[in-house]
Parts: sequence; structure tokens; C-alpha cells
Amino acid sequence: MKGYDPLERALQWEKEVYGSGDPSSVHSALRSKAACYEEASCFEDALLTLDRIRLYLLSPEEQSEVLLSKARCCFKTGDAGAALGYLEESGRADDFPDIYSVLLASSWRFSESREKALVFAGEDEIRREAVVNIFKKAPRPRKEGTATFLSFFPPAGQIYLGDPLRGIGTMLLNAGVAGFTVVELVNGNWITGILGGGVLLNETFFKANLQHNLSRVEEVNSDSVKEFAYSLRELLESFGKQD
Amino acid sequence: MPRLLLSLLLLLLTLQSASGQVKGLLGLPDRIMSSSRIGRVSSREVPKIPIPDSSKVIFPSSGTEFISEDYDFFKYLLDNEYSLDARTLSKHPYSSSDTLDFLRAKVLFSDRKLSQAADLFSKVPVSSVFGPESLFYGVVSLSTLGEYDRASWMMESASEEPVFSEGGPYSELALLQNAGLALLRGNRDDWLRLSGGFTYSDYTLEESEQILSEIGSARFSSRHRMAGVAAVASAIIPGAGKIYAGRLGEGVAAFLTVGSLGAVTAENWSKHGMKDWRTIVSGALCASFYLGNIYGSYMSVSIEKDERLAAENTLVLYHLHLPLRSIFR
Repeated sequence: MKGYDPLERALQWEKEVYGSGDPSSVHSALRSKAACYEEASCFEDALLTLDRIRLYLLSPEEQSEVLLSKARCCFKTGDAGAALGYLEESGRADDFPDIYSVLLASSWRFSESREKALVFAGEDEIRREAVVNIFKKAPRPRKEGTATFLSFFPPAGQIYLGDPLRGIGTMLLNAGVAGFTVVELVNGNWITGILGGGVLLNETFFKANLQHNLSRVEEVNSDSVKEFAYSLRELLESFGKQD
Repeated sequence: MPRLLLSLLLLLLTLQSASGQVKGLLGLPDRIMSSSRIGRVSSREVPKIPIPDSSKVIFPSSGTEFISEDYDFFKYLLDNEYSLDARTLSKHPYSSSDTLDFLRAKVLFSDRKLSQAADLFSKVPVSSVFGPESLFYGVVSLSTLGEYDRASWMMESASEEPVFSEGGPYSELALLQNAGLALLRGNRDDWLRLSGGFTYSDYTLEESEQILSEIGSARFSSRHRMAGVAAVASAIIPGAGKIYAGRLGEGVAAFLTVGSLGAVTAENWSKHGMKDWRTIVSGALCASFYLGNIYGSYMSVSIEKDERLAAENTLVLYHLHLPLRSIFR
């Protein structure tokens, strides 16, 4: 079935599935159909098609192929966690050290990722050095507890999360509010000091500082690991181009 | 000067809260839609309103293949929701027929191209084998698009057909659809007349009839919150209107903030006099927040009403569609 529009070929394979009662023909047709969808860049539909295959009815080699296809589709749709799971389940992750390394890096497993990247780099010293250097810049996961503790001392929390300018702004604002509260209390304006200062500190210290920092931890972690995995991918791809 | 800046900041925060952009100074959760059973049902079901897509789908005008040869396969694709395959098959050059119109309309419906789906469904004669299904799906498509008049007209024009009249196989389904349309249009008399005919005995329709009845009872009851009452309540006790509107957290936050600002004003007044700038600034803040809260309470009831209506309508549409999936599968 070559030469047609891939979606048309996928439809013909589905017709095979529809008309066939033999499980092995059905599975073979489904795999071919998924390949057509991949060709048409319909990776989510390809994954749904592969999900219809009953792995326990396949030989170990066929199972491995299907799992690899699933890993590829997940990788293309940007689901690195699922892609890593399928790749490891296939038992053939070591055949693809570059992709495996990038997926491991996306899951914060940097030491394993580094090991695979070095395998991919081979014996070439320049490449190995480039790998070692890039892993020196690997991000560290920010912890919620640390972020909360440091947020009590602006701008430490913001600096920890990589946003020092916001930290300085928050520090100045909170210093102003704290100063206002103290001045009012010293002047004997207890109600203004306690209630007015309390309302302002709720906004500037609690919401704009503490709550904001806590909500940023996950986002910062996700962005930093993605950025690192992307630069690692670029580096490993450049090795492939040099070959 | 620092005092003035801080006062301005407080004023800004006050106005922000009053306009409803902030959930309340204490950050307490919004409780909207949690007070009614319908609200809870809607949050559990979470049916999606299909988004109309106006982009054109071009089918070949006529061809040499016969849809009858592929009908079972086409139906298999639609029933199993293999949308991409169904879409590809629908573009084959088949010779025109009611069956083809019906199947293509179903593909468009599953792709949420509702306007075009409704046009194709309406081309299938009611007397054909696919007539009843096309009619009901056409009505659901038009209702989802908000074209209630056209949907009602479709139902009315088919009402004479024996399959929809009393005792016919689709009579109760037609009743459900008409009652649902009456609900969507807010027509109380029609709703009461039609929902009175629900039998709650057909297992494919029972759940939908019950949900629609609940929505109908809630919508046409006289126990609705009134925006004016919320405003007056907030004028008497700051925040009370928000609590009346079902927003407890915002109400408590408003009460504490107005109370705090009032206390600050009172302190400044007693210590520095009425004409002192500190008394004027804190008093102005207190007054603006007090008035903003009255306006916010009034708006909360309107917003709550709009949100409830939208959630109910989504649920009605879902229950107009739900029985079709089991009856025509």
C-alpha cells in the first residue's frame, strides 16, 4: 500500500482490521496503520492505534517494536515521561543512547543521562568534554521547603528561584510597609499600625512574596529541566551531524 | 510622602477587590456554584459544549462509488470514534444519497463542525431510515449553536410523523427534546406542559428526564437571589451581600477590610481631627471600599446567575445528546 496518501492507507489498514478475525493479522494491520499515522505526523492517533494492540499476544521482539513506536510517538507529542517509560519497557533503550539520555535528563536522572550521553559521544575526547561540560550546568531542582524558608527573607526566595529583580522590588516594598507599620506604632496609632499594616503586609509579604514564590517552584523546575534537556538534545544532534 | 504612597497602594488594592478581580484580601476560596445540587452535578459531569467551527469542509459533489458498500464499515468507524478514519472515508467520491448525507453529517458532528452538520442533517428526509436520528442530531447541533428557533421549527415540522406522535417509537425522545428546548428558551409554560409527560420508565431516557426536571424546578422557582437585596445587605453590613450571593470568603474579607479601614479612620479622627489629611485619606479609602463592596455584591448576584444559567444550559445540552448515543448506537 505505498504511494497513496498516508491517511488513505491508514484507512485501508483499518478496513483490514474490520474484516479480519485473526488476531495476528489484526495486530499487523494496526502496526501498519500506526506507521501511516506517524508518516502523516498524526502522533496522537498513532498512539491510540498502538494502544489497541494486545501486547501479550505478541512475540517479545514484536512487543519491543510496538513499545519503541509508542515511545517515539510520545516523544513527538512532547510527553517525555511516557516516552521514557515505553523506551525502558521495550528493553532496547541502550540501542538509542542519545534519545535515552535526553529523556533521562527530562526526568532529572542526570547521572544516568550523563552516562548514556558519554556512550553516545564515543571515544572522541572533544565530544566527551562537551558532554562533561554541559552536565556541569545541569539545573538543581528547587525545593518548596527551601523556597518557603528563604521567602521570609526577601529577596532570598526570589534569588533562589532565579528572579533577583523581582526580589529587590519585593524587598523594598516590604521594607516600606514594615517601616510604615513601625512608625505608626511608635506614634501611638495602634489601630492604624496593626490593622492598616496588617492589611498591607497580607498583600505585600504574604501574597506577593510567599504565595507567589511557592506557586513558582514547580514552573521554575519544569522550565529549567526542559531547557537543559533541549540543549543536551542539540548537543547530541550536533554529534550526529558531524558523523 | 511614604505614607501617601502606601495609602495610594491600599486604595489600588481596595479598588481591585471591589471590581471583583481579587477573590478577597484573605484569599478565601470562591464558593460559587457549590450551593445548589445542579452546581454540584455540573461540576461532576463536566460536559463540554462543542465549539462551532466555521471552516468549510469540501466533500466531492458526486462520484461513482456507492456508500451502501461501505455503510457497515463507516458505522463501525463512527461507533468506535475513529474520527480520523471516518473523516478520510467521508471524503471519498460517493454518489449522493440520504445515507451519504447522514454519515457525512455524523462525521461533521463528531468533528464539532455543528453548523455544517445541522445543514446536512436537515437534508435527510424525516421519512427515511435515518430520518429520526438525523432530526434529533440536527436539533442538538442547532441547540448547541444557540439557534433554538430553528431547532424548535425542525421538531415542529416533524411532529406529524407517526414515529414521533404519541405511541410511536420516538415519542418520548421527541418529548424530551422539546422539553429541553423549552428549558433553553426559558419558556415556562411549554416546559411545564411538556415535562408533565415524562414517564421516567424508559431506562435510556430516565436519567436525562430526572436531570432536566431538577433544572426546570430550580430555574422556574421563585427562590432566586436578587441583586438589589445583595446591595442593600452590603450597605447595612459590609460583606453581607457577598455572603448572600454565596461567596462566604469574599464576604468575610470585605467585612474585615471595611471594618479595619473604618477603625483606622476613627483613630485618625479622634487623634488628629476631621480635617487632618490622614483622616481624609483613610476615610476616602474606607468609603470607596464600602461603596465598591455594595456594587460588587450587586454584580456578584448577576455573575452567579449568568454562570449558573450557563452551567445549566450545558447540562441540558448534554442530556439532549446523551440518550441519542445509546438509542441510536
